[in-house]
Amino acid sequence: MPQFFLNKRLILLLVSIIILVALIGFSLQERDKLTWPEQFVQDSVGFVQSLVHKPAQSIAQIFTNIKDIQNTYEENKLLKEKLDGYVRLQTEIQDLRKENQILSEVLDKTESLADFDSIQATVFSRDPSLWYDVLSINRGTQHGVKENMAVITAQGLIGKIKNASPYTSTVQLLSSPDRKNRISAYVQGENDKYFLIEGYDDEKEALLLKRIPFETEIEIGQQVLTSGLGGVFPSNLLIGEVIEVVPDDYGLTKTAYVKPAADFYEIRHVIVVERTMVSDQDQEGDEE
Amino acid sequence: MIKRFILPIILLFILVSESIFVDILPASYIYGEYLLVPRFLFVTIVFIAIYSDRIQGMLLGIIFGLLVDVVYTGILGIYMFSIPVISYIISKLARILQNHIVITSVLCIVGVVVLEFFVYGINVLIGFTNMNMDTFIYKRLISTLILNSVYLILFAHPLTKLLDKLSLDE
Repeated sequence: MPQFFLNKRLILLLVSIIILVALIGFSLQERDKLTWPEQFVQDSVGFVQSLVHKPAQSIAQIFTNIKDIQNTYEENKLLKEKLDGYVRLQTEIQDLRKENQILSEVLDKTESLADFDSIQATVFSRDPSLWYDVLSINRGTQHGVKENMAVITAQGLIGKIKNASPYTSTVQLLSSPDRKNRISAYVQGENDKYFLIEGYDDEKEALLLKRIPFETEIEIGQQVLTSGLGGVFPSNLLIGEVIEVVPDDYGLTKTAYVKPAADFYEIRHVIVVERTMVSDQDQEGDEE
Repeated sequence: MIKRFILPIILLFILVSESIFVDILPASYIYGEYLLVPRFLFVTIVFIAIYSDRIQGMLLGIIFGLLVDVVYTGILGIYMFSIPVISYIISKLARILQNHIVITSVLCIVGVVVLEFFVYGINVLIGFTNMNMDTFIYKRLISTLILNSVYLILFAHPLTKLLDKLSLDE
């Protein structure tokens, strides 16, 4: 008799392994939409989470506030020094903006890749297993969020929308090791140079700007911004700055390490960015 | 009737609190030199499988494993499979060994090791991580075990009390 029971368990185990493989295969395939049960579960757990998250957050806030107050004096001194510079910069920007507008009107060019609408959102949870670098935010398709939109914080680009449910959506961070996570970017300089950001280096905590032709000069400290040529992201969102340039394995091309401008860990509020200028690629958009 | 829902509600609360734990604590603790991964849900389910009812523990493991998969990771099946299977094995082992709270806690920690290795293995297999074994053990596994041991030290006793009470009432 025990033999029989053992067999039953074995069969059960085998069946569940088959289900496991099938489910993993199903979720890894390239799908643009979540199935409705997934969306429903995500929304309802999201609701519970946002209920608990607020009070927990405000308690945590008290401790951060105390810490902040300790540094206030030093920070204030530093900020006052910086403020003088900003006023000058501000007037300069205003001048340039006006000039830009006049020139655009002369050219009869009203649309730009850099124009975008923004949706404000709050982060309410993060993947606790720390494997996937995925965040949940409290805005969904009902608020206009769609898959593959760019997500930024005040400092710079942090990732893109992975899935959107009606009331919540998940954000995939740039640091997530996913082959599909590619961004068309350019290095700011006298001549802008266009490349793709592919992948993230965990040890250096930097993004990889790959396949730079060997003769191209990239300097440390240059800014890297989105180019908007991928079809979904608007252009001129700050990604980060170059910290190191190394030849790649075969010595034919170079790879630049880009330190992200945004902090990927302390993320509270994000802005989901929708490009106003539409393109044909919006329907596909798996490579921006 | 209400008693039946106590465990699921507690588990749901733990599920939510895991992500809040990661979100609220200052980033330097969680993402510093070592990664601290909360496995409170898993540990609690193993305790249910040992002290209350194995079948009930596994069922809760399947349901909440699926919830973790859908809500946090987006890759279905990993936790839905691993949580019930590991809690089954651990509860079997606990039956063979003594049913003392210290021993079951140690077994739980062994379960966390198995779970971490399983998830790591799957992630390497499907190409979601390029962490090598050494980094995984030093940066992730040891610190995670310490965190979950602290959780067990704090909550193992109240948890067994609660489970005893629930099974007595039935």
